[in-house]
Amino acid sequence: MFIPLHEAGKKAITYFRTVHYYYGDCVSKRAADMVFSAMYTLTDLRVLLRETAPSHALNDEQRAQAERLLENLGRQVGSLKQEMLK
Amino acid sequence: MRCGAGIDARMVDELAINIDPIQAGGRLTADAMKAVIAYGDGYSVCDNCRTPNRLDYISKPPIAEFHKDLASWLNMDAARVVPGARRGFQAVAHTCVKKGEPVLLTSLSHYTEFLAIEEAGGVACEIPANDRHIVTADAAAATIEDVKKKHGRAPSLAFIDHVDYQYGNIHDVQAIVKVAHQYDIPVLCNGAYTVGIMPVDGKNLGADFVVGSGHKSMAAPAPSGVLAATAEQAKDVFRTTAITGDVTGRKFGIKEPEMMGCTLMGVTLVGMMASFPHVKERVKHFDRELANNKIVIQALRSIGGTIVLSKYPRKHTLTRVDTTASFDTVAQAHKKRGFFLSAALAEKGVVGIIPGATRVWKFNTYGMTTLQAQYVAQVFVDIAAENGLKIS
Repeated sequence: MFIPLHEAGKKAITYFRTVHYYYGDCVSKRAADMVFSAMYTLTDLRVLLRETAPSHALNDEQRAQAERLLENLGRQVGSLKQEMLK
Repeated sequence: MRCGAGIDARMVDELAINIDPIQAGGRLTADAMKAVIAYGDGYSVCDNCRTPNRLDYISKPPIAEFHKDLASWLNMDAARVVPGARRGFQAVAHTCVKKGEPVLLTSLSHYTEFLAIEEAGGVACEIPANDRHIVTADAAAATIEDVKKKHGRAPSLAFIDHVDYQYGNIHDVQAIVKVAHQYDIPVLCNGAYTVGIMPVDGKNLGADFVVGSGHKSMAAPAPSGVLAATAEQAKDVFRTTAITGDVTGRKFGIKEPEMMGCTLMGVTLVGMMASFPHVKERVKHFDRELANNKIVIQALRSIGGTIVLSKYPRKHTLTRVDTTASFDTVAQAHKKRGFFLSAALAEKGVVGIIPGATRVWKFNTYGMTTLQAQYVAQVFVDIAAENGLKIS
């Protein structure tokens, strides 16, 4: 069905307003994603601390898990820096 | 480190092994912690609340589905989330009990069951536990007969603890329900220490109501819990509002008075939901928890004079011990007196027993790794040895 240009424009504005209302622009959405991802990675590290309390002596498997989580955290914080400081 | 003015960050479980008897089963899973981060704001689950505007109808996040899953998992017909098991007791007592009516509970019942009866205007009638701290069907039958003689009628409700909070003993709910039903007494099974810890099948138990605690046994934030009912009882306890405003003529849709409308509207519910898949899985492996408990119990029993007051061998990880003839003898001469035990444990990274307790105290090994259980066992033995107690 043909939609007049001004009607399509109105729809687009409504759409972007809605998206903006919920999520902001694309840049800040990615920043928010990274904040949550980093907090979730930290949560996994927190659980590792709980599982190994009180000595926090990690076995090989736990050490590998900690390394992987810390690498992810570094990447997530790096992306956050990129998004928020550009 | 602080998380607000005057509020220290709580790192109890990160820095030590926590054997607190009531905290073990409520420690959050990683997914629940993540849910707490995302849903900490007040009415956070209400973003997509649509007509008929009731919590258990919300489909995003999948709260409606969670309610169905909860009921099905407990093998009951309907379930609602409630702000703690005590609010489940309250709703049921308020529905089933009229002023002056006798209500059964046990000599091991939690105080909130008494308060629920009191608030409904009922009269508390305790079934005495036997000398092994077990509530039996025979004792229930005898108490019902006594109540009939004294009050001229059978009790209008019975609260029976699946596992009691004092000894962590399992009671034969199924047999007690059979007795109670012979007198048409509906039974509420208090699963505060079992729902989320070990398998609970409401229909198999024959219970009319099953109540669980989210923060005690379902790895959920406080206050949270579940009230599940049979279809017959659900009609009453989950009845919908009929009230109308006399000036405005307002009505309130399908809100449920006993639930005071919506119950858990944010982080408590989503935390509970996030832990639920893990909780469903962990109840299948309760034997592992008992194996860890055994490691600690064996160590304690090796310390001369220590008595396990809970039923032995243990069928639950919550355990009550008497160390009057062991650690308390040390306390008599120790400069820290009764605080020596909790202090010595804390020095070695084990926390959770009541400071000052050296006679009768409780602990819970639920959720420990086997390495942690071995560590706790060794710590008890080491403290005993360091203080001159005999180890066998």
